[in-house]
Amino acid sequence: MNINRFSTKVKNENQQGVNLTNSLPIVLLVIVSIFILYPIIILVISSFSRYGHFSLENYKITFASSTTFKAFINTLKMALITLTGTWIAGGFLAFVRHKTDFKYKKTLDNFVFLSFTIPAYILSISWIEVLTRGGYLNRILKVVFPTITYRFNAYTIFASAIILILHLYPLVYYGVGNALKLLNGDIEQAARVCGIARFQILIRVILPLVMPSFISTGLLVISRSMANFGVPAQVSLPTGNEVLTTRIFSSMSDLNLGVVAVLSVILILIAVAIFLISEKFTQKKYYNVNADNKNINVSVIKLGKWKQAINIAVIIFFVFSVIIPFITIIISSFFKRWGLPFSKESFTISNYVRLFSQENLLTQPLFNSLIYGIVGATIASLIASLIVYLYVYRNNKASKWLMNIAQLPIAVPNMILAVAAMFAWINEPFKLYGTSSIIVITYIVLFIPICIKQMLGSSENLDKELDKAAITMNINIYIRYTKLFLPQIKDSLLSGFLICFLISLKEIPISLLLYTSTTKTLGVMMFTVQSNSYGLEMTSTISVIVIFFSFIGHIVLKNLGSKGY
Amino acid sequence: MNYLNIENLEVSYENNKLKSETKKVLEDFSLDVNKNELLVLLGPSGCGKSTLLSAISGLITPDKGSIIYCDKTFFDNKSGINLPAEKRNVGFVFQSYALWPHMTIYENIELPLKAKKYKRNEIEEKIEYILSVVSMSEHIYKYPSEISGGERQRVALARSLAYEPSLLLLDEPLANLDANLKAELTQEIREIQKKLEITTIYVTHDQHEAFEVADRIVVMKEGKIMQKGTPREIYHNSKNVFVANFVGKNNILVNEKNLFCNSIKKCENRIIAIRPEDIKLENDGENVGIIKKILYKGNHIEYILCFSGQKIIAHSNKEYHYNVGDNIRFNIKKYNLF
Repeated sequence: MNINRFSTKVKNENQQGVNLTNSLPIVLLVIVSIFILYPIIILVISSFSRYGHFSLENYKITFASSTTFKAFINTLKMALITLTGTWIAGGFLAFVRHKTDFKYKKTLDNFVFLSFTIPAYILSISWIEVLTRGGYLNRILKVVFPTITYRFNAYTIFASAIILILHLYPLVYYGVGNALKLLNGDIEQAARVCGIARFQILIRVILPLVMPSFISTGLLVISRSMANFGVPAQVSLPTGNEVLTTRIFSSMSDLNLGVVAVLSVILILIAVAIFLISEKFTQKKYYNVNADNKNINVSVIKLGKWKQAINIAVIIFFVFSVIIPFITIIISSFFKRWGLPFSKESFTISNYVRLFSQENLLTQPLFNSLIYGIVGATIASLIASLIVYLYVYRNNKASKWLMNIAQLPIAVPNMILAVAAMFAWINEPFKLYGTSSIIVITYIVLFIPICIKQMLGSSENLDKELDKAAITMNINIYIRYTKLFLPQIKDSLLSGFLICFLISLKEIPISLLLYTSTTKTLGVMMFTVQSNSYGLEMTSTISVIVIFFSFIGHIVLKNLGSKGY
Repeated sequence: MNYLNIENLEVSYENNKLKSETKKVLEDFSLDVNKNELLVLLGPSGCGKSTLLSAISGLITPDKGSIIYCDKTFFDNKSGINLPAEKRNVGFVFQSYALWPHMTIYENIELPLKAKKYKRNEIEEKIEYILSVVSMSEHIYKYPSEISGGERQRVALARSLAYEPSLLLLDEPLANLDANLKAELTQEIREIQKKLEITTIYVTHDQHEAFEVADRIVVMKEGKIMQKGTPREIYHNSKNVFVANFVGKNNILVNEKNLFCNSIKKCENRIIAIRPEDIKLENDGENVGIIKKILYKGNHIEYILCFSGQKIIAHSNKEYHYNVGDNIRFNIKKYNLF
């Protein structure tokens, strides 16, 4: 009698569990389809539509324009220079760090970390403050060499590329550095014992083995530099040197939405292609070079007579990439007005006061950024964790589809996510344009793949039998997810949340395209404050605050042992 | 004739935690290796076996001492000679095989030959020959990831032998393989070494492997030689408690208060080592113990006895009808005293 009653209870719970288990992927699929697929589909449809009808006119207009063609060429030029620069800088520093007896390895790590925390846009502000005609360099030169005329043009595509190199080289440093670190010491030593010369070992053994890391990080650099808006907008656009992202922005300002849609679709296609190639490279596992071995990294190259030269090269690099940008931004933030002479009267702390008390410039945007960041990152973490849970423990067709759709935005430039959101949420029935929801939703779309990436790393090592064991004990999916799955991935969940939150504090293009007077963010303020009644001094003041938050956030992340470092 | 002569070698490592401290891995270490001999370095993890191989090959630089191969000085701190690894012409097989994963098997063997400036036709010939020796000719254009662990081991061996090294060093070459494959490859390595007549030093912590392959065994502990000799000498005439305990199973007992009858009476208060197979269970045995456990081991039965308060293990391949708790009589056929 008792047994029967127990069986009935089990059956009911099982049925409930099965229903919930089956309905969860469907609910998630609907959510990601609405948030991610729908805007992109609308964007693609818009690119083929003119006056409500199917047309290729938008494409014809876009491709016929010489400005667009020039923007293409400039984008390509910028991406390739950035790629070359990051490969040289990141690869060289990674090699010095991991394969030589360079003495200041910890200091090198710390400086690369600092480079990583400075947003690219802020680097471009510093570039302007130092190298333009009214900049610090020219002012110093005027004092030292009064007769020399300063002719350096700081507003070029090359300038954008240099700034992007200083911002993106840590990607190569970390990627190639990890590959070098994991390189089985035996492999190199086997070559030495076989009588192969050092240089040959470098060319024939080490370089081919770290090449996949060079290529995958290189593709990431190309993708990130092509998608960047803030830097070319600041240092290339003023002299009419457009790239694709600034072209989209200016076409948007001219209400040329057809061109906006076409350029966005093209950027998506390029970005997705790069993403897919990059994924292929990272999946290629035949270079399985890390194995247990006792001799790992026993041999390092002795720098010998090159020691001083390497030390000086590293110091010069960090002076230009970290120290000068930091100092200029901080000094400028204390100027009463950018461009005033260097005298005691020119400096003030009132810029900081104005931001939060007198004119209250930053209180609302800071509050907005915090709220949008927290809400966006929380919802994205939740959705991402559910998707990862299903992917790891179910791994069926539905969960794979879910994973693929959810990861799609990682290949799409931030600006295009904003453009797609604008196209999708401007009309009924989902009229969200002009509200804070559209920014939050776009943040969620941007953050989901970032959170997934963080969690997938730690989930790969989870024992797949754990969930099955719980199912056999009739534990329902809610308990399995909250009590068994979440505690195991909590660190990566938290680091994913923090990474997203940090992005929300410094991102510009999404909020810039979607903000209204009440939904301004820190990024919008940083970009627009200069064009109002303030100069670069106020941009610098906001930059100092953003750097401060970014620095603290990255320190917390680093302590969490996040995978990205 | 001594082919390799190591004298007063000292190697120390920096302590990872306390950078100011150094740990001596080898101290005042001397060893001779004969021509065409296969010498096994046997010992627990961390005893300095692999460090010795690294020092011989030139991958690490010793602090003191000398390593001389025939008339060629590899290292001598007194005269300041330290021949680089690439100039010692030594073959080294690593535990991880250390095959270059981005090269085919052919390319893996070809690269060292090219480095040694062999001509193209010589390279072809040598690769063909050495792959036939290790029975890997059919896999010549495969990548290391496309072959099994045992095959990778064969390729690693072929790569180290192709350029005709004067000395072959094998660092736990079979440690990553399963038992059956290990037994098969142990024999193969032995045959290849004899066929090519190459002086070889073989590092392992597996005594069965050591016994199967060695001409001579050197048992090491904490950077020092505990005993060297033929496998038979090491097993049957262990010179100290460590070797007796480390090599094979042994009952190590203190013979206090005339523990055993007659035969060992005179050796009171000395440490005695008795191999389990040297304890014969006999109805007229001099000693009596109580059976605590009986374990069936396939080719023999293991009896765990309690004898005067001490645990003794005895092996027998005869089937007795004893039960746990029974008294059992036994004689000691052979023992070692320390």
